[in-house]
Amino acid sequence: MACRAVQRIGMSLVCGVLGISGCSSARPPTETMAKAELAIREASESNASQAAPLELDLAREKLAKAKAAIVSDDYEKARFLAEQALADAQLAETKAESEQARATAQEMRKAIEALRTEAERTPANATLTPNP
Amino acid sequence: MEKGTDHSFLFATIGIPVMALLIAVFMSGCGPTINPALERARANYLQASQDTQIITHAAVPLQEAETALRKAEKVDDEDKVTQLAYLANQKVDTARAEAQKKIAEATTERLSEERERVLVEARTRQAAQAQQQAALAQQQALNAEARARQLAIELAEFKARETERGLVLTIGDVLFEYDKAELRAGALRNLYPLVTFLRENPGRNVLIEGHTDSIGSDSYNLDLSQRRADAVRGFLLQNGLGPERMTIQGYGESYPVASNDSDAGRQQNRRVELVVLHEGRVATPRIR
Repeated sequence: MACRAVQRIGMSLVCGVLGISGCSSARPPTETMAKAELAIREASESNASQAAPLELDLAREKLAKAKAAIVSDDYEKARFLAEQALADAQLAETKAESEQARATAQEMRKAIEALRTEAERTPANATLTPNP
Repeated sequence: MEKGTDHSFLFATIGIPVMALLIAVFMSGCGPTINPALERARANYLQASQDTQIITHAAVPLQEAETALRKAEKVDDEDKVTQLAYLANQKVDTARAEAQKKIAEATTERLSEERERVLVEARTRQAAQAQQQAALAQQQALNAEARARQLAIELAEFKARETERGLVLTIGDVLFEYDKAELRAGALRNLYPLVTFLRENPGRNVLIEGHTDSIGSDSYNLDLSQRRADAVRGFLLQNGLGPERMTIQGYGESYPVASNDSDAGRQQNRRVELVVLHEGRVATPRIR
């Protein structure tokens, strides 16, 4: 374990100093995972569990797998999974927002319909109550 | 020469397949690899990038999808290609959803304006309706006023006097022959304004008082005065006025309004007085 930790620190140092992009798989994709986590939370809050349940479930599943991959030091796999989770969650959230916008438009349509119906029920030349 | 022949033979038998294999390996390494995920992502992107709604409303995710596809074309690692293809595909779908969202939002905005218009129309209509109603009410008030004025003019012909008891109308013996209690046919016309007035003022009751001159006995004159009052009452009843609104009283010769010594005076005393009582009052005995 100690050996592995030393190895990890060493790799990080090397990558940090050299700035080698190819080394990205050697670091845990913490930023992407945080983004995915946030996107999943936002998607859940915007009712994605109903508008896009498949995408949301996929995102959660992949994030969980990414966490597992980090535990087993497979950072490349973790990064792939985190990136996918982020894309899935963003798609789920957009779908949820789209569905919400569609529902709002539909409500507005109904409101107008109701107003029109009401207007028809009381025509301009309504029968006036004659004075006695 | 023989050795050369041997070499040629060796090249022909071993070299050609080896070369072919080498070429095949070389080709597969640098030619376009067929990755099904990438192909799907490309097709999806191609379709979306031709959709004007997506171009207009979801430029950002569409651009992200394109970037991922470009990267996928540059990397060799098959897993990375698949990964980028997946991300590109999700971005394209996100772009579609984003475009739909924007379209729905635009629709909502348009509908919101429409609702505002409908509301304004409804309010305008209500206002017009109220105005119409007010105009009608005003017209009705004017009509009532005009009718009241007309009635007042007509009642003035009876020389109506406003008194404490009410409006007192004196109907002289123009209505009655000497010693008769029947209303003259020609005189009826003069009573119609009164009928109209009483109909339009249902709260005003009427007291009908009969009077005579001094010729004849008291009891006879009392009876005659009562019959005269009753004749007027009958006329009003015929014209639809409720009996509960009328009270009759004969006074005979007890209450002259002029001297009984002359013909002119006696004619004045032969009369029926109609008291149109104040609103809501009931008949009370005459006090002199």
